Amino acid sequence: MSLPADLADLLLTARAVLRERIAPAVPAELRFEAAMVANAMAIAARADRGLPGAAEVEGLRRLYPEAADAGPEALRRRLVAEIRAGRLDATGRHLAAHVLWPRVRERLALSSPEYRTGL
Amino acid sequence: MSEPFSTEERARLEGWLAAALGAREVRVAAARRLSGGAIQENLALELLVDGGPRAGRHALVLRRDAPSTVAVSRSRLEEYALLDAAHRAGVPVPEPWCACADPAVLGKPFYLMARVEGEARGARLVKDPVVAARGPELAAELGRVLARIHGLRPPLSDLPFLATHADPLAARIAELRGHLDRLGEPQPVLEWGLRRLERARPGSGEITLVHADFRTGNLMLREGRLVAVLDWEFACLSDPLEDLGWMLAKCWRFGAVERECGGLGPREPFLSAYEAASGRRVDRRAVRWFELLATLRWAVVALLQAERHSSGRERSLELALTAHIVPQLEADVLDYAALLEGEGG
Repeated sequence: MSLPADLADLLLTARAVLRERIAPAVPAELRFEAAMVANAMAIAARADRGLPGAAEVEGLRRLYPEAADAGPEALRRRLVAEIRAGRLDATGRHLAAHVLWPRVRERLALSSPEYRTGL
Repeated sequence: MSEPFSTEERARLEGWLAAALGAREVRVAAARRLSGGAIQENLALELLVDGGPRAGRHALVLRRDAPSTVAVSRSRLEEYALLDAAHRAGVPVPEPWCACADPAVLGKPFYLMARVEGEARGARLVKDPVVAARGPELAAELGRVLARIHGLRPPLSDLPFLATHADPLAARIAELRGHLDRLGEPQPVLEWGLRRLERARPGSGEITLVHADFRTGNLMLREGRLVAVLDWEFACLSDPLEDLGWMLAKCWRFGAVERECGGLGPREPFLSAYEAASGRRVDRRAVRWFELLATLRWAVVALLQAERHSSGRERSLELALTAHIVPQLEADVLDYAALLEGEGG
């Protein structure tokens, strides 16, 4: 699922008007609000590249090959239960590489693609 | 923006203040709402006090619960008691003036404190060249102030509402899991981080008063110096290292990630000044564990805030956007978890 390209373009065009024409005229006490609106429009427009989930679910399907009929939500619930029970303690690196980081990268690509990971 | 008080409320407030301050008469010369505080309402007041020990003109802040209160934080009266205890212990805080428990005055309990001039907004502070130039000294100052807060150890008879947990860190982990369960959506990365915390709990083994929200954004600075620690509503009894982890976590640096102490200064002067002032030796690896805890706590709070919006209880763009911070926190969780794994801690 993704946002059609023409709708993403509509959002970005509106955002450019907001940032270039409207924001400079906004009183100081509303600047934070204007910046938030521009940020929200940018996030929504990035949905044209697809919504997060595909890579994470692919990793989950490889982790649980026998659960072919289970949906993404059920797979996540199973994973969470097993993490909490300590059954995956020994698989840290594998789990991070194949499920957890793919989930985070997809979500960052939508919410804040400029974020620099690493401590 | 509507007037913060009705004419009747203003008259009742003035009458109550005259009695509380031992004055002949008190007049509220000006009142306006201050920004910030989704849970509390903060009002800037100019008071004219006639007679009594506080005679004169004063700039104060009145704090009361916002009209749509979410019962997640301490009551205003408890917050006042914490502020008062910190003030008496020599922690820089706005001077507490008086508290009113009677809802007949302003509809809800409230308190007054001195208005401290300065800058607390993180986005501004991390760009301030005066702050940048004082970075190491400022970080050390923050370490010394935290040591002073942590000098308040139980039993604290003035703060009887503070719950004592035999194992505050286990309680914290359980609390975060409880929130995730109530929110209902499975969160594999946050669960992974919580499990990592649970598998090896370092901790100092001590229990003191902790501020529990000691970070850039809640620290009022003037000319690069700390003038007041604000927002005591989350203070509790816990492991003092919780405050160190909260201050140092990557998520509270307002983009100035290279200055590890809240985007204001370097890590090591903060920790060594804390050690010198508190007499505690701080295990540097243990601090990383507490930074992971801090990241998880903020992630859960962000999810709770986003849910206030998505549930329709409190429609707000700011709350809605908070959901989009969570992926950054998830990345930090995985980075911290890998760091702890690599160190075998």
